Amino acid sequence: MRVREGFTAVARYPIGIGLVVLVLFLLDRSLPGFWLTLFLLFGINTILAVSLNITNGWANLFSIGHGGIMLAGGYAAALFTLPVFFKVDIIGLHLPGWILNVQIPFLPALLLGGVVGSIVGILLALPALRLRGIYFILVTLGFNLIMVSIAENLPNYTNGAMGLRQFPLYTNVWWVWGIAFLVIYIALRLRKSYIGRAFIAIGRDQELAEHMGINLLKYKIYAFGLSTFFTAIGGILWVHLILNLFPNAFSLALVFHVVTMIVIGGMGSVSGAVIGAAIITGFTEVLAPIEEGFQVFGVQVPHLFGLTTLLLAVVLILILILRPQGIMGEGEFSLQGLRKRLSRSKAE
Amino acid sequence: MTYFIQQMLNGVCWGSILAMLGAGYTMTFGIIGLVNFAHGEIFMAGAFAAYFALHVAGLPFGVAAVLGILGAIAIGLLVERIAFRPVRGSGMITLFITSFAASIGIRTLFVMLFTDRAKPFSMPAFLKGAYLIGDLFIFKKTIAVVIVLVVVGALLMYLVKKTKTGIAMRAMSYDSETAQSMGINTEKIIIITFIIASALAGVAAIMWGVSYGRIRSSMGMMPVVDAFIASVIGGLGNVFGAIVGGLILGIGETLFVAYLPPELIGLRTLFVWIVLFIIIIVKPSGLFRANVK
Amino acid sequence: MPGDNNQRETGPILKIEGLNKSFGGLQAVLDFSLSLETGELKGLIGPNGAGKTTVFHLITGFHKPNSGRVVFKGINITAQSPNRVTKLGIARTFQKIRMLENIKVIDAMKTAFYLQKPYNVLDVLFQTPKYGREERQLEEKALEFLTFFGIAHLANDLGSDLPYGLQRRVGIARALALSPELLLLDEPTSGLNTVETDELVEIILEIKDKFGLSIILVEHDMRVIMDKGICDSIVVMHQGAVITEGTCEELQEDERVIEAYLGAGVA
Repeated sequence: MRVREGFTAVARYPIGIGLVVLVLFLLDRSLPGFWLTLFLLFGINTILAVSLNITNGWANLFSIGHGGIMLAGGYAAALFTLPVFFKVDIIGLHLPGWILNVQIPFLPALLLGGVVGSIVGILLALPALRLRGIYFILVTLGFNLIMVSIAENLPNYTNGAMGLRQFPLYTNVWWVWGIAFLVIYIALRLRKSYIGRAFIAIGRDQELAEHMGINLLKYKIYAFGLSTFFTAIGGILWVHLILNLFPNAFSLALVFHVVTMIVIGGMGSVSGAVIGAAIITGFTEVLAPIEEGFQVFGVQVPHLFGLTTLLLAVVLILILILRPQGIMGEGEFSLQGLRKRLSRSKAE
Repeated sequence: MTYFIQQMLNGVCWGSILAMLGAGYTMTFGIIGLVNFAHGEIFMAGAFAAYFALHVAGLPFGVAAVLGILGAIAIGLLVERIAFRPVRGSGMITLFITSFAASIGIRTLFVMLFTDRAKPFSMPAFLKGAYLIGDLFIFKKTIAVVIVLVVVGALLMYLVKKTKTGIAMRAMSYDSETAQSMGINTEKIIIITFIIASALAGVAAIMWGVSYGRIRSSMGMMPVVDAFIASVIGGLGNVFGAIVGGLILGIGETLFVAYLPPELIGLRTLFVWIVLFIIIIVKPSGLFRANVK
Repeated sequence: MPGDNNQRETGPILKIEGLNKSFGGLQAVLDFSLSLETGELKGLIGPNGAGKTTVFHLITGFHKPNSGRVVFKGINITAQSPNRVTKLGIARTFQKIRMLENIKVIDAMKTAFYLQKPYNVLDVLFQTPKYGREERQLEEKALEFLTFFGIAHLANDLGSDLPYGLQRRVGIARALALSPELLLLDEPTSGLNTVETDELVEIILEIKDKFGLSIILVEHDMRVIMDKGICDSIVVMHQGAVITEGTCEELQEDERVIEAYLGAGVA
């Protein structure tokens, strides 16, 4: 594949960005509430899946502790975005005044939460990176359980299992999709550079990567830091969309959903992660009314909480049996590739 | 001092449950290389089977216990069939994801069918009551649990060390291809391993019911993680190690909680993870040699 | 970079002194010493299990020795991590071919150019002209290497799909991409037929001249080294220790060598 001349590449961006902005603007204006929320959830899931793919798909650091990262980032941001009266008068958190008495805008809160997520992620990674395979998975799993447990059991700082409410509605199309495009862009660009190649080399054959001069620890920390930064931001966007924060919402079940996205899309593929996010978001929302029970011709169908999770489990197992490489394999979606494939099928 | 010993005795029940679960876990890992995340749901299914036999069908405790173990075996074989066999040999992470999915799927199904509310699990009359020695209460159920642990543990060690099946298992745990070329029927050994591991989970389920008097759909979630840690402590793949590891962890956790200030009681889950981190950093191979011994 | 040092270095490029390594109770390498002159091609032979590959592991720092020293270009590299050692200019190939799963040959080559890092992360994110230029150059250089090894036409195939002999070539091309001064070849001809072996020996001699390499060549098949006579000198290992060193002609007369091989063969 040809790498394009840098100048033309730069010139292409304004047009592309302009088109995206226009489409987002139209969607924002025209979509009815339900569909808009769905579109936002899709964007958030995209952020989560693409960033999880950096560790789990590329660097083969299979983490199921990203829920704990979202929790850490989510709380860090929430403590600053919640209205002061809620923090002080309603739930009475025992926190220093410089946290209690301020309410900050979304951008600094996102950055703060992202950085906190990244720091927590790297702190988790440092001991965990000594481990391989199942031990690594186990430690990340434990991390998730611990984070939820801590959040639930320190009511003075987190309001415990009661969770937090009264969030300002910060999340909108611009934040969600702006960040989603950013993370997709970063991932795709990195993949075509020595950095992404180093991640993937580590994922495939750690020993060989080391003998290519790649500093394993450094790159594992890069991968983890980048992945957890955007994962935390995804968590914050989610909290400020559904407007509540319960520790239990970040349990393994959530991680399970994101893992399913990248497995369906194809572990290692950025476009696969986006496709997986779209499928799972749609799937979840279609099933939501069934889960909550509904009426058909006057007959009340009872609620079936958990149906989505159950079906996802079945789908996940089926995919791993029937098409373990997922939809995209490790490839990326590209117009040139599509054109090539089309012209080939015509020629035959 | 009495408080300490009393708490230790309480910890024995929990430790025995972890020992039984850990032994099954470690066998599936050691022999067929699968970290069976759904082990906790096999355990939970066993408890439900016993509960239905006991409270819905009104069967005697002995029969219910056997049915509980059979129920665990049935779910164990189901997990093998749907989540392990079709993806065999496709790498540790795939195996982990399928068993993770099976775990979440089965648990969710049970929650949907039976809700997650606690159900009573009454113990038979002969296990009720306690002996009072000095200031110490020694519950009859504790004695029963320990006896079962010793008997089942001894049977298991005998099976792994002395029988032909056990030797075949150990051969497989070193190298399944070589084992196959030596004429060992690996298919059969895999099934037998699943049956034994699930039966152990079933025993653990009965122990749980007797010890705590209630069961619920999500009961497999935490013990399975603790049991895995127990088997890491004992050296993954080492059955005896897992039993010892389970006891250490169960007793340790109970003592940890017993001496924790009440407002921090919810942090009990932290204990096992602190233990795990220490083990992994100090002695990742565990206390005993790995591989099925 | 390291090229400048070459002129003032007069001593051996690699000097190993009294290396010991044991795994559990097993002594894998015992008091191993070796001295390699710049531009020399040294054979390291011995029966299976003599500890040859372990010596490589100890040089690149993949294993840490229990005692002893490894000095490369006057720098003590004992127990350094493999990535540091590689950066200093030592590349190795593996006896068991390691192909990155599901990766095209050309991309595997580009990965191997990791050390060059011709642009930084901002160039990547902002797609600067520098990034485009350097990335294109990387691709050209990768193709150049593949052409040299006669496998340019396979650039877009998956490495793991290639036949064995060609995978060996990719392995060596990948090592050369690290622009090493010292190349460690671990049984490069194992699994190859006679024709392929001859071709590969040719290639090794060619790259040695072209890139000005010093090479250590591990073999357990003594004929490859003896019959071809390509090595300047040969070290013979047995049970972790050096039993003798000399030229091809000297060793053919040496009874200890024959004994080591026959002894191992009988036992």
